Amino acid sequence: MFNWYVMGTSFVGAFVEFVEALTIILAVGAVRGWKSSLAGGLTALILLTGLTVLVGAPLVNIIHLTWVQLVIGLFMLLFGIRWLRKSILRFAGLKAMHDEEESYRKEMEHQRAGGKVQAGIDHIGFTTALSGTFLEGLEAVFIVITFGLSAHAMPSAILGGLGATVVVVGVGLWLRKPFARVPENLMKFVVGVMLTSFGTFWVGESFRVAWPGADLTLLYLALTLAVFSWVLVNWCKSRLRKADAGSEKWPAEGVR
Amino acid sequence: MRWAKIALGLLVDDARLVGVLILFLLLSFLLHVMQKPLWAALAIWIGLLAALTVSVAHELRLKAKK
Repeated sequence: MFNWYVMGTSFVGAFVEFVEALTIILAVGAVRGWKSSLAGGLTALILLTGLTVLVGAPLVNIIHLTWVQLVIGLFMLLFGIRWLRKSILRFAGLKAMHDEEESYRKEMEHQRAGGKVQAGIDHIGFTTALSGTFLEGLEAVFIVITFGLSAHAMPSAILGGLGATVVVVGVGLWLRKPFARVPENLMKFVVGVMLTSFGTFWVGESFRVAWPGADLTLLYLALTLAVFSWVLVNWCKSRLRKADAGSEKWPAEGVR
Repeated sequence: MRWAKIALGLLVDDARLVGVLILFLLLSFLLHVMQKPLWAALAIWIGLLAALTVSVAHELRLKAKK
């Protein structure tokens, strides 16, 4: 049976990353040619699929080992809290929201600066599409593998990732423009909370800690992170408003 | 070397965040060795919140100085 929860989370995590890859492919295609862009993107997808199978499959057989749980858990925790931190900073106004249209424009400028377009497969276009898709996809593969392993539902996680790939490629080819209206920060926040919760749980399991209310651990870890993030965002917004109003002096060290 | 940098970039983009987290994880491990599993769990949990607070507060200070 499918684990819909794992499939959904993998889908969302992979979707967000492939939207960014699509922006690169579209920009490269518009300037350096679609043959080069699509060839680079497709090559990256094949490499990523191979990576998922080569890394994910053997790990399924050894996930019961304590040290494997610790390593996977730590990776999930560090990756997840990184996404969580960035999304908090963006919601709080401390970091600019990611703008796909702006990224598309910048990439097109970068491609135009690359010089004359070669006939056939353009080297610059192919390499940019390949490396961009591969790097964004690497994060998607990470999410799929770690979620699949931690929930003992690798097939569901892989299906979620594949589903996201199909949707992004299909809609991208149809629209032929970047996905500007995706609530990317909200999606990264949700996936960040889930990854951090799962990673924390697995690190704790490898240390043989005693989580209070054992079966509810993941739930209260996720809830705590979500609520605390909301508190941090509102705290930052309030401090920034006061600073703008000039009604508060900032000390040289530390925050009151 | 380049691939090691890329791999590290997937996991670390703020040394404060990771530093505080690792500190609390080490504390948790120490508490586990001392056979205090509940305190070990609490150390990890508090570590998450502390790491986020330290990191976000730092960014807030930097923004305020600009």
